[in-house]
Amino acid sequence: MSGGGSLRGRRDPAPVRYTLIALTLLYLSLFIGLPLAAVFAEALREGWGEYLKAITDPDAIAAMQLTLLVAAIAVPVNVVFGVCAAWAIAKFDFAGKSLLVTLIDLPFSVSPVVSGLVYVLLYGANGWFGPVLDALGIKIIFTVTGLVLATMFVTFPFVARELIPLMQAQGRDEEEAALTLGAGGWQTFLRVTLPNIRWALLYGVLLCNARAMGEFGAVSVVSGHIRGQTNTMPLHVEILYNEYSFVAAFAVASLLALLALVTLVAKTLLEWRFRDDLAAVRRH
Amino acid sequence: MSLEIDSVSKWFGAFAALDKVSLVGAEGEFLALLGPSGSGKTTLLRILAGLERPDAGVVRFNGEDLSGTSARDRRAGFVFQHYALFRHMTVAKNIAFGLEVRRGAEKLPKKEIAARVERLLALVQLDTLGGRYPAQLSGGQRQRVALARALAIEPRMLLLDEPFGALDAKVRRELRRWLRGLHAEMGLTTIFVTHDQEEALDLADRVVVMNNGRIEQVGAPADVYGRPANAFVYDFMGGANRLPCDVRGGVVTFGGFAASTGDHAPGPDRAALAYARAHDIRVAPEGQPGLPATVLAVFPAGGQPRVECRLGDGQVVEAAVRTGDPWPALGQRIALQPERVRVFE
Repeated sequence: MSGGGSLRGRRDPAPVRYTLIALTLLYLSLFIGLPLAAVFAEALREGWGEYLKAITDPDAIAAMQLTLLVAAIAVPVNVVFGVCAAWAIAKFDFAGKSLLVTLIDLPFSVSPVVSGLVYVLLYGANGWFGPVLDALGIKIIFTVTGLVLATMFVTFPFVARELIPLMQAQGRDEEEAALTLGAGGWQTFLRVTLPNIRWALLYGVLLCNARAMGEFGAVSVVSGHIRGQTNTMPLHVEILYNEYSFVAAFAVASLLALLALVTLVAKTLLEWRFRDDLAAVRRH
Repeated sequence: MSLEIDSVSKWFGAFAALDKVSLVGAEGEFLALLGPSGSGKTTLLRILAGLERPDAGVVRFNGEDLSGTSARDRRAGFVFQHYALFRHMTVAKNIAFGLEVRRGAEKLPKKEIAARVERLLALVQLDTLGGRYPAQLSGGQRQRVALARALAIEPRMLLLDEPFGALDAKVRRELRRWLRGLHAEMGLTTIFVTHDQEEALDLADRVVVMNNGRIEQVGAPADVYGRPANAFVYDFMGGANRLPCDVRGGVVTFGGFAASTGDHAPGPDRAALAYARAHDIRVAPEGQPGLPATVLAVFPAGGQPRVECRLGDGQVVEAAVRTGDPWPALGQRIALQPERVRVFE
């Protein structure tokens, strides 16, 4: 990137440099490294045998499957709606646009517990739509449907927030050029818009996925904690911990931590593998 | 009659971007839409491309009403001001885009597309750069890629929005010359938007001067420059001086010096403002008939040696020094003799 040369050329005095680096490292290890290490240390305290037993427990496996299922539904849905919302906001002018932007941010500013409670209020047995749903034989609260809905709500901003500034910066010129060259709407999206936003989209998907699998608050309210049925991994960790099964709790938690690390590595790898492409896009 | 714009209007809210604009372009004509920003020239170009919809009026091409034809089906080659190249595609892919998105019977075999891309690359003199990405090209090269991409679809007309706006002066002149040659070769009806009067006068068969959503004048470059229809056009063509004069019996005088107004009638008797370009104002010694003035600065270098002087009312005027006439000194009192002027009512 331009400007790097001049910055690299300027050297702060050595004591300042080392103090800053040391402070950063200390902070990182104290608040991120240490807890992360503790998770794995606790999980393996009684050896690999206990660890494996904990994560192959039927309830633990059910929780993993449920977490994967919830993410597998919530993430693609959010990708579709996130792209739609970002497209609408970035490429069109309409009344109420700023209200829509604010609404997209809502899940960030509302406590997840509150989101969960709102779902109970709306769709629970005694909720607003409870009687209607009951008559139709649809159950949402304390079911997988409720988990998926709550997760979708909480993760909604991730994809849209990544895309909106990028799409706004890119403007409509390329889409208009495609149009005058004879491309249809779908062709334009697949051949022009999507390639231009793919990295931001992927980034959004990674973050969205991490949150979808790790979400606790909203999911906790609508789940009902039915073991083997509506327990996701974070909920399962809580139950195990409350039952003083520390090794099992940390074993499952270590899987969540691993997921976070994998997300991080995947993101870094992608950035590294396509750095030329990314740089070309940024230079343009 | 190839292109016909019939009382086209466009409003953005209460603002009339175009106000009943009518214009006819001949087959193969090279037209310039010239005007300041906000004059509606880009809006008109976008309406021709189908990127904007007029609120009233009709655009016809060879007699066919284009109102119901979307931008996608108009086959209007459009070159955007900032090129709008597809940044993730190579130059060759950019040029091939319009051919690759074709469907059904119009679809071309891959070989044919590749051959056409080769021809277009040669046409825009970028033969060896097909594999590059837009970010790796200079501004002038990007502009030519944008042009090749627009030409690939064999457009019925070529529309260029400020085609040289983002380029430096030297590249701009080269591209201008090149574009003129290309137009002569292909004979494609071409309309370009510019706010640079020199560019419009240099390139176009006819110049359309626009202001506030209306057309002020349409004419050949020599006409628009030499016989501007009104004060706005005169001013916009550049180098305009406004000089106080007397109009009496159809004759315009400046302190006893009578100027020619050509075929343009100066109107009823009155004290008026005359428009004159620097090279039409002669610098004469003090005491001769003309407008008395004081020399503020002299510019002996450049294509047109000229002086800057101040009139009695404080107004600053530029005048030319003819070959053979003596150079006035700074602070010297002189008489300005506007030889050819225009007085608008």
